[in-house]
Amino acid sequence: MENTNYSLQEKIQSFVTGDLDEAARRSLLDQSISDTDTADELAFGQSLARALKHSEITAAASILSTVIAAEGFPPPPSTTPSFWPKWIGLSVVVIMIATAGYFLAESYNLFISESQKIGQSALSPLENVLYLPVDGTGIKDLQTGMIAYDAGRYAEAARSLAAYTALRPDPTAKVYLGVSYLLAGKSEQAIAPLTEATTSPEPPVQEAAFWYLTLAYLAENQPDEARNTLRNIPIDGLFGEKARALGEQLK
Amino acid sequence: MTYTTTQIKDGLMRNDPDIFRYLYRTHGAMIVGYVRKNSGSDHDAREMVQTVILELWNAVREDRYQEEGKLDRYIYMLTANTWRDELRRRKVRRTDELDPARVAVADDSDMSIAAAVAKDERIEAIHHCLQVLESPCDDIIRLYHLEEIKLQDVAAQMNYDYNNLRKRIFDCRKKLKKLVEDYLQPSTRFDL
Repeated sequence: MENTNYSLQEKIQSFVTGDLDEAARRSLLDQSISDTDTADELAFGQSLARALKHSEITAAASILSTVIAAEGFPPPPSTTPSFWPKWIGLSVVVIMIATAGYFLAESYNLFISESQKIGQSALSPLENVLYLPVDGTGIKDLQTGMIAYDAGRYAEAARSLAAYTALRPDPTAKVYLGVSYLLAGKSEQAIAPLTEATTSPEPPVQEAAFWYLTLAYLAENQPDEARNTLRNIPIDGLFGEKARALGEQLK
Repeated sequence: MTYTTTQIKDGLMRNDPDIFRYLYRTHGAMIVGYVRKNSGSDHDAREMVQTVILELWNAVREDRYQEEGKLDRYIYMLTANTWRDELRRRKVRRTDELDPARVAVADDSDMSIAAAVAKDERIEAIHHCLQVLESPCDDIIRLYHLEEIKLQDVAAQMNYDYNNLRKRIFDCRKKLKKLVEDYLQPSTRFDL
C-alpha cells in the first residue's frame, strides 16, 4: 500500500501507544472495518509495537520457530512418559504391592489378635455323635447337613442345619450348626445357636455349646466374653482339660 | 540427552536452542495430543506448543517457576490452563458479528504476551527483519515506536528537519513492512 497519509500513520501510532482519545479510537476502528488497508496498517502497528516492546520473548519465539521448522510438526512421540501416565503407572504399582501385601499378611494371620490366634489353635471339629432320626419334620435337612459336616463342607452344612433348626428346636443340632459356622469362618453367626444350645438339659451338649461359644467369642476378638463363657465348663467334664489349658493361655 | 530442571532454567535464561529443542521433543507431543483431544486443530496445536513453551520461558525469566523436578506436571498444567483460556476467549469473542481485522486490533487485552507472540506471526517476522533493516531506519523506528519519543524530539535528537523526518519515518516503516511481507512468503517460512 502506498500510504503517504502521515496523519493516519501518526493516528495509528497514537492508537498503539494508547494516547488516542476514545472518540478518535472508535473512529479509527470504524474506519478499519470499511477499509482493509487501514485495518492492515493498524494490525501491523500493533505487531510492530509488540515486537519492539517484547523483543526478548520475540527472540525466544524466533528460536523456537526455527527449532520446530527443523524438527517438523507434529513433534515426535515423547521420549519420556508424560506426567499422568507416569503417575498412573506408579499408582497402579503401589496399589498392586499394597493388595499383595494385604493378602499375604492376612494369609499369615498378621492382622489377627493374640486371643484370636489362641482360639484358632484350639478349634477343631466336634466329632459327629448325633443320633439321626429316620423321619420327622425337616429330617432331610438334618441328614444333608450332617453329611456335609462329615465331608468338611461347613458352609453347606450350616445352610442345611439352619433350615432344620428353624423347624425343630434341637439343641444338639444347634451345636453342630454353631460349629459349622465357626469352621466356615462365620464366627459372628455361630454365637446365637451356640448360646441357645447352652440351655440344653443334657450336660454333654451344654458343655460342647459352652466350649465352642468360647471359641466363637475368641474368633470375634472378645476375650472377656470368652473367659466368662469358659468358666461354665466343669473341670471334670468332656471339655474340662481343654478348658483349663485354654484358660491358662488366656490369663 | 536429558537435562535437569536447573539446566533447563539456565538454558531458557540464555535462549539456548538445544533447550528449546529438548522441550519440543519431550513435551511437544503431549501438548499437541491435549489440544487435539480437546477439539483443537493442528494449527491450534502448533500455536499452543509455542505458547506453552514461551509461557515457561516467561515464568523462568520472572522467577515464577519454582517446581523443582516437577516440570512434566507444570507443563501439563500450563497446557490445560492456556488451552482453556483460549477456548473461553473464542467463546466470548463473537467473531461472526465483528470484522476479523478489527478484532485483531482491539481484542488483545486478555491475552498473555506469549500467546500474542505465538499467534501473530508478524511479530516474529518484524523481529527478524529489524535485524536486517539498514541504518538509520532501524534507529528511527526504535526511537519513534519503541521509546515513543515524539517526532519533533526525534528530529532534534537526530538533527533532521521535522518534515523530512516525518517522510523518512514512514518510508522506513513501509520498507520494514515490505521486508516482513517478503519474509512471510510461504517459500521462506515454515508452514503446517
